[in-house]
Amino acid sequence: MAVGEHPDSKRRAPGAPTLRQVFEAEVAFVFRALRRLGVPENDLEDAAQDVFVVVHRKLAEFEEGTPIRSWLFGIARRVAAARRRRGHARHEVSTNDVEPNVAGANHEPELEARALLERALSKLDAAKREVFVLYELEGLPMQDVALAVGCPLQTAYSRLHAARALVRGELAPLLQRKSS
Amino acid sequence: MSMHRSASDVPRWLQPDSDASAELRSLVRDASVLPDDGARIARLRSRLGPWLLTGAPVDAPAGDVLDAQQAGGSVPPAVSAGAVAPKVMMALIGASLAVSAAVAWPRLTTSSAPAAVSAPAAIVAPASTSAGTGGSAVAPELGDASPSGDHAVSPSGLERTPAAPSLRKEAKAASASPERGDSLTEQAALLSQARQRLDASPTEALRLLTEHARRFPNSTLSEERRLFTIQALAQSRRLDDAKRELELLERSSPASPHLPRARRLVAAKEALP
Repeated sequence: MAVGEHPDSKRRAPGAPTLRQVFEAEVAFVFRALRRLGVPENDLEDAAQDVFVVVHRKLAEFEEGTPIRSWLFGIARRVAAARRRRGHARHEVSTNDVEPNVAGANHEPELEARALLERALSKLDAAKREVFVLYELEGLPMQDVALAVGCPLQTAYSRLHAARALVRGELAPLLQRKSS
Repeated sequence: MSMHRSASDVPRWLQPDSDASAELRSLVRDASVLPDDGARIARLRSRLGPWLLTGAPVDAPAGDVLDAQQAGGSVPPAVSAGAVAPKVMMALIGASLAVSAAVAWPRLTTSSAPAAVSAPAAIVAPASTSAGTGGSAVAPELGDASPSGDHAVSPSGLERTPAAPSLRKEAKAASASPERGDSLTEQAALLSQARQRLDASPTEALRLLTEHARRFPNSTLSEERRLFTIQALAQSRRLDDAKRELELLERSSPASPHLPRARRLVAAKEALP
């Protein structure tokens, strides 16, 4: 795995992390990432455990200087994809089935916003969704994003732009309804 | 959330200098607030607790998930959520090899899922008696045991136990009737010794596995014992016995994460001239 050059890339990479160190420092990120990758709430714990089982196995191969979150996200996306293939998502309430009640919202705004964004993200393919999530929501430097999803930097930018356009397109009518 | 930004990064929608409208920025900001995972994290920490305590990175062999990762592939579809516990246990067996038997196990392992018990005396029967169709690896009582859905029937036919309980159920059962930690540590050491001898000395491995079956007939680690037994029998070219053990594993633990590996082991030996 190549090492990112951005200063932030190295900040999160301890020299020789132990499983415990990785867990304590990044477990919250792992949960967020899995959730952003579409893992249903009911499956989050098991999916997170899968991630750390793999982390445990792969720690010896972790190269110092690799952005830890890029590395973890790479594991999380494979775990999430495998669970999707195995049908773990059967408990998931499809966001397509939920027509967000924006006008008469009696939920907290965060819940409504998450439902709206999730609905838009569900229209993206995995490659675009991952880049969008890592860059826009997790705030990773684009170099780390490219590393996490295993694509060239320019490809990551292209995916971001495409994802933005699609998300905008999905959200525009909803935002209009909201403002009216 | 902190935003890391390099010179080449385009402004994020959450940043005021981005091209996102105020409404869009507001929505993304609200959507960035995720539920508090504190309780989930605490439960996961508890599940992984003993493992986390081992500290240093360990080169631990484990189930098929880990095989796939090692090969650079993705996680195979066969491992169910309910199979996570054995997966962790297999990793722990590997961990115990590397960091000695000081690993504390109890919270990750329980006595709630005893798989069918191997027939200890039969496993180590000389190959001569098991050649042909007779096969000594199967306890006579099991001849009548039919597949039982999500229940496993023990060789004695006296107890019916869940074959693949969920990890959460196991965790609850663990607090109710945990196997003693020292027992589990001992079991892990025994199984690890057997595992180390699988290739070079399968007969000795079988002896250790038989000892495990005799001393811990209803062990939480029965599935792992059966996997190693299949491997040892296959390695000894006792293919009929290996297949019979595989059938027992399939019957007693149809959701076992070890089944794919066990099948591969037997198939690989069968393919040999």
